[in-house]
Amino acid sequence: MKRNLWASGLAALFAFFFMLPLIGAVYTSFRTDNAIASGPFVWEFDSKFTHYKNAMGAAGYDFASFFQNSILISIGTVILTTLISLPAAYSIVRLGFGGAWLLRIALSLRILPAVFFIIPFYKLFTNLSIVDSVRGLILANTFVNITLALLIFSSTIKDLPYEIEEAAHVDGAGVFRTLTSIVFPLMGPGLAAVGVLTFIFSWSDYLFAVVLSSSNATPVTVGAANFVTSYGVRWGDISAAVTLSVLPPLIFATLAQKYLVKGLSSGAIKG
Amino acid sequence: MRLRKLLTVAIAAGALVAGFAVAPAQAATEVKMILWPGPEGEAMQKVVDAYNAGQGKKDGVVVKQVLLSRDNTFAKEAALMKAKSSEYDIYFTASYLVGQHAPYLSEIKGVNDMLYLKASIDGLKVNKKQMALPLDTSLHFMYYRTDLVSSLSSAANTAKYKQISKTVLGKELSPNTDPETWSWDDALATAAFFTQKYNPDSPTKYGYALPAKNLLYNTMIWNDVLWGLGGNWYKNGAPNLNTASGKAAIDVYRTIYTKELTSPDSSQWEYAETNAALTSGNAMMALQWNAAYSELSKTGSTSGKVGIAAPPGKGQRTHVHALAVGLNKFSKKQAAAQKWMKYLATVPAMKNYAAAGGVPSMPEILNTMVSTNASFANIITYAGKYGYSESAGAREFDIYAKLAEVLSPAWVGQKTADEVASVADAALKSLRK
Amino acid sequence: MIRQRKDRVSAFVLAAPLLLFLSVLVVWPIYLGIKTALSRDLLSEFEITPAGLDNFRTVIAAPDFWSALRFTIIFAVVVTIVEGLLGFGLALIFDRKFPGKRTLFSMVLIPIMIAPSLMAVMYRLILNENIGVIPGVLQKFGWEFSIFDQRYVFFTLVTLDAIQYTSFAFLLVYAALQNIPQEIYESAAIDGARYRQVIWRITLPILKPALAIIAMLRLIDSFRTFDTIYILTGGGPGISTQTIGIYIYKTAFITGDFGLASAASVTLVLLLAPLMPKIIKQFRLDIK
Repeated sequence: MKRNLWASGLAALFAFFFMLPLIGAVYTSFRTDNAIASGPFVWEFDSKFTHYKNAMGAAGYDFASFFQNSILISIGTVILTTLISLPAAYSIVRLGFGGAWLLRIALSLRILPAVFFIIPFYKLFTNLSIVDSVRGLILANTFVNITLALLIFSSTIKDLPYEIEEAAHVDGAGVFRTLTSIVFPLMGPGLAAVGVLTFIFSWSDYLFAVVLSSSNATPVTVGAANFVTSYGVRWGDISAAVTLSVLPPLIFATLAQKYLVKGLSSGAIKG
Repeated sequence: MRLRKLLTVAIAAGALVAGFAVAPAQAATEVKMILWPGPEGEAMQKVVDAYNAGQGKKDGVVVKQVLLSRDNTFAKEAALMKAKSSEYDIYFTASYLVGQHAPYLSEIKGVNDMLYLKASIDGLKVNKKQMALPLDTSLHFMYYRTDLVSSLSSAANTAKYKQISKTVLGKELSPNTDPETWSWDDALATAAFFTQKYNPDSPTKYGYALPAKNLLYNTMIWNDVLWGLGGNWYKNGAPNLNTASGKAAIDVYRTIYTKELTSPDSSQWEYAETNAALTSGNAMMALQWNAAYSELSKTGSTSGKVGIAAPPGKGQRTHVHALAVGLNKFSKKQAAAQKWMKYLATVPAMKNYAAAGGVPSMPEILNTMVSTNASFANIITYAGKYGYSESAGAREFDIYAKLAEVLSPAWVGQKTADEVASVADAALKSLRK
Repeated sequence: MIRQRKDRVSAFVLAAPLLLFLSVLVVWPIYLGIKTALSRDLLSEFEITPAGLDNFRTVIAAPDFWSALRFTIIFAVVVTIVEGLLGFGLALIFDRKFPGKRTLFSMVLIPIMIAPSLMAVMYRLILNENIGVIPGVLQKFGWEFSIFDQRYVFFTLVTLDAIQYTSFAFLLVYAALQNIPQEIYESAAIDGARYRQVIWRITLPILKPALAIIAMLRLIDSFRTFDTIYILTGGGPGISTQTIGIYIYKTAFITGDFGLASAASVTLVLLLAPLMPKIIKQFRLDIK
């Protein structure tokens, strides 16, 4: 253990650089407006946590519901994305369904800029009366994440030792049983990667949320952007909002990481 | 969901009205209005609350305000308009956008023009029809550090000023301590004097804070320079930037940037960065929006030391625009929305708006508010005296963006004025209907 | 690989949710999008009229489109390489036990948890020459460096993108690394092979398909790069940092020309479509 301290150091260095924006946000969120405007090292801190109060709703924005929406949207997207793409990936890879064209379409989707879909989506969602609803944003975010999920699941399934499934098949297990009781438990790393990434990308979605939500389903990203005003940027408030908005995905990623580690140490893959 | 509920309520209410000759209290119609966050949205919320609690009850209307982020408000509205959406009854717009939005707005009738600043109310007319109701009026001030300008008059500084203006601008100039009468040469020489590169004793590192990012709002500011030097986008309907005045205006920006009177970073600056340069004490002056006054006068190095002048130049002019609200043509609640708009066009409503931090386009109100915000006095004077806007028709918004794109490389010295001016003219030609 | 008729039914059943989803959320919007691309559809004009291939002609003749495409390709390739290498290196570091691993793992993922648009606002603050912490610290060390100076702006944008998305590459490489049996390292160690050789001869070949996927994903995603650059530079000065995403966004929402914006999107996909089979081959997902 001891001799790996260099790894801790290197990882910490990376983490430090990656966290610079957040560190900046945390620092700014505790400073007074006057200090922020005067320069980076004016030591004047806000003992009343005004920025956090503003980011929690004192500024007149309902951040509690923004957070709730973001959490519902992200969790919903993870579930829906997995439910749709895991069986499909299995079907494509192991059962040869659709060959490569399904993946090809999925990939092309990812190239099209979101702008292309904004107006069609708005029209479609209006017709389905799911504009400004959490359900609508779950659908939109699933759309955003489905390519990535399909690819990760496909490659993970492909890397699984086929012999186990073959054996199960010989033992008389049907496709569905093989999928649920053999493949699924082996998918640890893939599931964790898809889960974490989908959660994070749904959490940080902005463009679709701007157009498809107005008040009932506004996520925290769009809510925080309220601090970018026509009278400049409220640096302190938006910093506090950003700091707070990182917490839920951070907690989720930390929890999912445990699962990821567990999924790996099961050892079945290492044959 | 909500709509369905409302519909049910509305139908029920309709049945009641039909059933009884004298209807009891009618169910209120909800009118949804888009605004953007910041002082405008916050001030408007107060007006909305007052209406919902008072006049709205009589009108049978409940107004709900939805704030969208500043950067995406107009993008989202564009999507809604093209989808012929009826989700919102009232759109947020502005005089530079109303041409683009007009096809999707209903005319607003019965507005008393006399209550408003002329530039603001007229800017919202399309084909002589009032398409939107003015809220805030925006224009530019030349902000400067009063303490530094007054230090110019000493004999030692006068000599130094002459020498620096000779080095930087190639002409010997004497200090002009009245920014209200500055020419662009005065402004540039003063900026050079307060740039440490030329004057190591300068308290500010840079003399100027130049918002030179490729952003359409920055074109609006640059327009002041153009007009100050006698230029215009069009002359007799023909593009007019590839001219002496057009190129001179480009060169003012180019000189500021390439002579390093502003930070090299300012090639990516907009409103917030320009403010930061001033409040941090690193820059001495900037042509900037009137909205910046409250921040500049209260925070950082500019606190209590910020002066306001009209944009420099012989033909002093400032860009003026009005933020506004317009009525969605596809709204299913036209009558209710009209009632709310009618209320919004009254002096008491706008007084309320001003008290809550808005800058309504009504001179009568601004006059009474000068004690709370000294810049209000300047708004009235400057808007009347120098206020100007290019009325370029439906594609005006587009032109601002295109000019920012075409001119910004020259602003920061990547290209010369000659190289971009003809491109700018070509763009102006193709975008004018 | 299709073993029996029953499997074919199962295959369809398993893929059905995806097919349903795609047909609702993709087919119709794409139909609408293409219809828009074939129309004169301006915000400033109420009527939408058929325009044939006019928009496509305009896009193909627009120097802005091509220069945006060029910038996007260069940017995408550079960030993919930078982030791929950094992510791979980081995954190798994490592919062992060390003190604080769990905490650091979560910390490393933080950048992708912040919406790119908010991240860009944070960059505007902390990199600001006058009030930002980072230039402030650099100045304390006597290093005056204009981060957004137009001469370095490409370098700056690449760095900022790397700060945000290296984590993404890292997570995928890390997940892929977990499929490599630990015994390989152990037996290699017994053989006395040096670590670098193990990486070069064993880890890399095994990871190759996974790395290809990650590279392709980053490449495709960076083709859509929009928020950060748009907020930081607006594509400027001029159009020197304008990505294809910014071009399309501006065309749609500032110019108000939805027909042209849709046509540009479709053109982009058509230009990249020939690459798709190659990409998929890279993925080794061509099953038959």
